[in-house]
Amino acid sequence: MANKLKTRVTEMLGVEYPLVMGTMQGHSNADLVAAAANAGIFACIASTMFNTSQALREEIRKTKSLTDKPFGVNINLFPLIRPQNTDEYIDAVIEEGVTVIETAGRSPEELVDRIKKGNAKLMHKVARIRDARTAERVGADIVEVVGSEAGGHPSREQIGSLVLIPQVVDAVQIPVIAGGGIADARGFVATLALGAEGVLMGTVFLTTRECQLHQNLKDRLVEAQSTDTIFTLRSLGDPLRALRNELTIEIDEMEAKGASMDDVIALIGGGKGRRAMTLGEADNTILACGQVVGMIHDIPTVKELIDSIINGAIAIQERLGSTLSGKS
Amino acid sequence: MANGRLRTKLCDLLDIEYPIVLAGMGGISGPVSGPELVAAVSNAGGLGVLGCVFMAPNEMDAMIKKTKSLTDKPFGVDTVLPAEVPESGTTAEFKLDLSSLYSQQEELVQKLMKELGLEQPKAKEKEATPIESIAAQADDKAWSGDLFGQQIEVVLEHRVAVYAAGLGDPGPWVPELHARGTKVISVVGHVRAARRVAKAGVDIIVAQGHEAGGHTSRIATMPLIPQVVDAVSPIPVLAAGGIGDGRGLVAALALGAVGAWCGTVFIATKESLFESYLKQRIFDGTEDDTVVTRVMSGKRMRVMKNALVDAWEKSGVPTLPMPLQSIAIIPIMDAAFREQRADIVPTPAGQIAGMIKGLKSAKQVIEEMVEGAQRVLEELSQLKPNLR
Repeated sequence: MANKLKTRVTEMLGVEYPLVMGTMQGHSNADLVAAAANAGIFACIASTMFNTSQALREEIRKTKSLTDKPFGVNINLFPLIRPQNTDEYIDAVIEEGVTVIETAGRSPEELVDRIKKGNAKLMHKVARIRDARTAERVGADIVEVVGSEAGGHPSREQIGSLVLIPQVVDAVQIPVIAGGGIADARGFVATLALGAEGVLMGTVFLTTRECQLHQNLKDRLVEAQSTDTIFTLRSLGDPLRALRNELTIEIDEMEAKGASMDDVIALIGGGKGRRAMTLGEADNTILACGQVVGMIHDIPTVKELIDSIINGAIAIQERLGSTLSGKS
Repeated sequence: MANGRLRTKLCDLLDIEYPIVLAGMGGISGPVSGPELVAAVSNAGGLGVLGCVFMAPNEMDAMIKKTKSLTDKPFGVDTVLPAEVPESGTTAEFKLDLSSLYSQQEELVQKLMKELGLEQPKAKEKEATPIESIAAQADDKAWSGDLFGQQIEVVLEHRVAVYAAGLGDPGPWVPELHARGTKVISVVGHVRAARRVAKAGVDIIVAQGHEAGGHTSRIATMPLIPQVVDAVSPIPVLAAGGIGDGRGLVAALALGAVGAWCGTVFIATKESLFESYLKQRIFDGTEDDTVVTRVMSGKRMRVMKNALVDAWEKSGVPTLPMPLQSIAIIPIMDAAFREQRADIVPTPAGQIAGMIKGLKSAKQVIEEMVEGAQRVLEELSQLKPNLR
């Protein structure tokens, strides 16, 4: 596949395919990001995985040693149990020569000057039409949008991708990268049909070989159906779509009875969830994943996954072409 | 009719021009997808489907005859077959149950009447109630397994081109429908139900996602369609929920569907039998102005935001199963229809309500959707050489 599928997104990000790996807090490290970059798509390191800006610098350097392709860094603006020094992290990213910063969680307005002065591009991720407009107004170069079926933080309003994507495309001039509910070539082409210039996929990368998620959790994702996700951590502000397991069911019951943020943090805080994730205790940890979990049936390499999407997309275009020629 | 082709396997199967099917929308106050809208959609090259939920067999018979007088193209008839309703029974009996077993809900209805500023009907108005549903119309008819069977008898008798089960499993009726040359459509919201109706021999499966108006799924359309397609292949699948223009139609085809089952976009047409003050609510609505609730029917239903839904949910009183919930709220519905209370009369609509801004004809909706889809397909085909 020597040629590229060009959109404004592939131009701006300098990648072969209009496909972006959704940043996964806890999983998007040097190995996974480099594997994605080497396979022709864009990905960002999750800066929340690193307790100091120095540790983040080291991860960026490690990524550069694994790929000569472009990649970015995600700065998380959601309310965090352990807040980061955002300015310090952004400076570190820019000094390390990364040229794309991805933000999500609230308006990045106060960071725009810092990012632009560092000659970096800003991609901002939203889940509502009005937030996409705000992203454009404050100076984002690209807006990413996810529908309610996405893992992680979709909007409270629960608007599905099919409805949200075309309306965001109509609402802004800057290029749109869209995701939520996409697992394969069919969703990839559907998203481009809706007017997006790039496609965002997250959950399907959790079960790739390069993702350092424990095998027990990968197996659990392969077994899960689309009905096996749940909104959790509602008491912390922004609800998170995650795997339905013993822990998230317990949190759901607590929150239904009006549990406070402190009660919930007592249950999951102090690194308990992170330890369970490392040990592969699939029922004791919160694993963000989208409704496409029901479409995951294997554990491919990142390259195998991406090649199957791109090759599948070509086949779908041929099938779609026949609707116009009348050979049904 | 729109220019140029947009043909899928569905067009051959149903003998239509374009892969666009009108959802058979019915309602407690009568059909939305009535004869005029159905004929307009079929005459424009799609497939119209009459919404006959809640209708008595003789009313269905009249509607089918009227539709036949307006089009010589194929059209369909939709009813629902929920498994959990009583086998038989009359509305009078259900009302008795309400007073004895569900007094909590009955009391709430009376309280909400006052709270919502609705007036009790005056004695003479009781004669001509605005709701003409089975539930309200006559105490000796009811929404039960018996009625569903009688409705299907009418479909069989008329040998209509398509029967659609908007809810539930049409399996038991498939052999008889096929014997009369009627194709069977089944609407599902998850993979398990799709497998079940596939086994029962239906001809087409509609996979309806979370974005849809009316009775709705928990799974969004984007991840639902490919999973249903994989589960029931080679049975053709129609996508429903969130499709309002050519982009959505092409997305549905990309996901593996052979066409789209569209409701909300046709509610807002000149031909639909929806009160104009309710159509206006859809034009004014944004993408987050809908809500999913059990208050209207006892099953999860997406409607435009609604004062009754808010008040009932605030009360903490549990809703009743189908059809008791619909019967319980009759006094509120009666008054709300009479007073044209757009904030209380249920306005089922999908999340695409935010994309609908004005009244069109059904023909215009289809033409724009087809032309939009053709444009998107051209654009996508431009990308093709680059992909290689």
